[in-house]
Amino acid sequence: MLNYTIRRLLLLIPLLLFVSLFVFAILKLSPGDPATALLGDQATEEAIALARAKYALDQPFYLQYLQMMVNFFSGELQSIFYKGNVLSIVLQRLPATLELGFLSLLIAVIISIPVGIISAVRRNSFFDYASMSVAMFGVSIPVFFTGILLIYLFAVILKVLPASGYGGHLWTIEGLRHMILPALSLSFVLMASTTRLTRSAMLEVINQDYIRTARAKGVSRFVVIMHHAFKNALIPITTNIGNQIARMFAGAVLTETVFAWPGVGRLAVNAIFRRDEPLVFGCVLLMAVVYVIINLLVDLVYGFLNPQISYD
Amino acid sequence: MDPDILLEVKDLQTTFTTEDGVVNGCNGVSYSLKKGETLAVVGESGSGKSVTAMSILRLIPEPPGQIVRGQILFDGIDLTTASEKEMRKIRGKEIAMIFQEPMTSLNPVITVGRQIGESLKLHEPQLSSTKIKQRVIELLDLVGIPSAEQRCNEFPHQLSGGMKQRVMIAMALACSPRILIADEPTSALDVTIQAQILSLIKKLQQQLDMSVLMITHDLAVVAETADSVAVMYSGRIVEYGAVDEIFHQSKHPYLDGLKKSMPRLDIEQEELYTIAGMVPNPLDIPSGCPFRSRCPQEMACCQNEPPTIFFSDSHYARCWLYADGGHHD
Repeated sequence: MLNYTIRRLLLLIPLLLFVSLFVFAILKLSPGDPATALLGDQATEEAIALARAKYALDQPFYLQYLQMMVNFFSGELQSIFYKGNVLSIVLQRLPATLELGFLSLLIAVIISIPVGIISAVRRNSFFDYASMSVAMFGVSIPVFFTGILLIYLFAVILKVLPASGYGGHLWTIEGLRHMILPALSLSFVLMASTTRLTRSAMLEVINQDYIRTARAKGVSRFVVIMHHAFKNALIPITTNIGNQIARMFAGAVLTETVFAWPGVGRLAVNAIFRRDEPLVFGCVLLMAVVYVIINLLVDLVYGFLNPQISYD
Repeated sequence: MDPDILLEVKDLQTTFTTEDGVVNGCNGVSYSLKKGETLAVVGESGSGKSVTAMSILRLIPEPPGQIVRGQILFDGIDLTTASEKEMRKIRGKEIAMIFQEPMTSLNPVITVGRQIGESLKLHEPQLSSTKIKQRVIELLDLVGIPSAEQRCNEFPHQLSGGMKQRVMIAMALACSPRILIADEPTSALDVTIQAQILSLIKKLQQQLDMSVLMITHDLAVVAETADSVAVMYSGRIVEYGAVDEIFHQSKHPYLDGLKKSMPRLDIEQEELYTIAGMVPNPLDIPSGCPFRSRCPQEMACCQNEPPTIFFSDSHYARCWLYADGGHHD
């Protein structure tokens, strides 16, 4: 398993090369120029030329790319707008995003898996119809809209939770209070799809022959469902959660913007609006690394869930 | 009730509600199983043999299935009306079952040892976990699995089909049940393994003094294992008798057809015999004898419910052909 992990981490190198080239190409292909964005329309020709020279924008593309890569990994790539180097700016924002992601994942899993199981066991009951309708709603509603609704309900009408901003780490009370609404709105997408998937995976497993075998042994209904069936259903459920994490990153960009959350998502949005090329580059690259690592973790969890998978 | 009789099924009817209507899985089935006896239930797919067996352990999915009529008497309890809690005490402990598909009947994510040990843990809670482990290894030895200790920690996908069926048998025998229901235990296995599994069941039956309800569509299996035979067609028993009576004095045209369809090695056969026609659609079973449309000896009276004719104490058939010759029910 250690070998497998190392091999997977080594695969990061070509992946990062590809992602960085791609991001760089998009930055260069998009119209406009960081120097003009920085100095405004009124700037003189000389000032712009000076700024272009300062940020090496007058160099050939391949040199710019190489320099950006080298500087990024050595921690010397400077942001155009923010003070300091890109790597430390992004790393400073990363915990807020990861905490938010973790809390929404937790909320989604705690709610959706039990609901999915109950819907499967009580198929075609009122509970099943109700939860599936809510899940359908959750799949179709955009994240930012859920966010606005939640702010309106909990912060404006009920006035129980803060409307936006970061209150500290997840494990502090103020931090948690600030995190509940953004995490809830972000968890909606994951919750909806996980509930639906848990239900269908459980329904499929419940009809398998080995469930009948367990019942023929005299195992109680509860143990049949939680031990024999759920253990099998967990395999497709984990796959789904792994896939959904990518969607959560995309959702985080919107959620962070709606809730003024100081995470990587909002940082990336700001960097794009200001054409802060080095910062966009850094944000995307680091998100890619986090994404690959999370996927690796999901794959490793797989090895524990499914005895037919071995990583030797 | 005869004190030797362990299990008695009386006039059992199990139905399934489908979108197209209500289907009879089995209809008016009666049989009894004596201590130490092997009763084979034969019939083609859809004849209701498995449904009857699953009804005994109440493993019919409800809904759509439902036991609507009859009794299943075991140890003075009517299993058709027993509570789920009572049934759980009987399943695995008193009556155990092995299934047709060893490939899919074992849980893929739980080790073989734990799956076998689970029955012991449930029905004999006083056993310590080391005792259970020891017992599991003994059971694996008993069913002829080599290096049992190591196999305990393996998962089903690491075993072959024959090995899986042996594990299923070990699991069923874990609590030394009084009755073993074997639902086509060899259908999914190849012929050499079939013979091994059948002789294993037979050996263990004598060793543990069990009664076996053998469900099969294979007359060769019947000849090899059974003491008594019930032949089912379209949800009912059409002939019932001791194994010799069934093979040498068969009465019902359906059973004659089945026997003629068996390929024989002692004579030259250009083409195998088949029974013409199809099993009737369970939604649309003809009145009277369900076999009449395929029967070479169909008569006008076959449109009426056929009488049960006894040829000996243990041997009866339900057919109009013998309405004058035999004695009426």
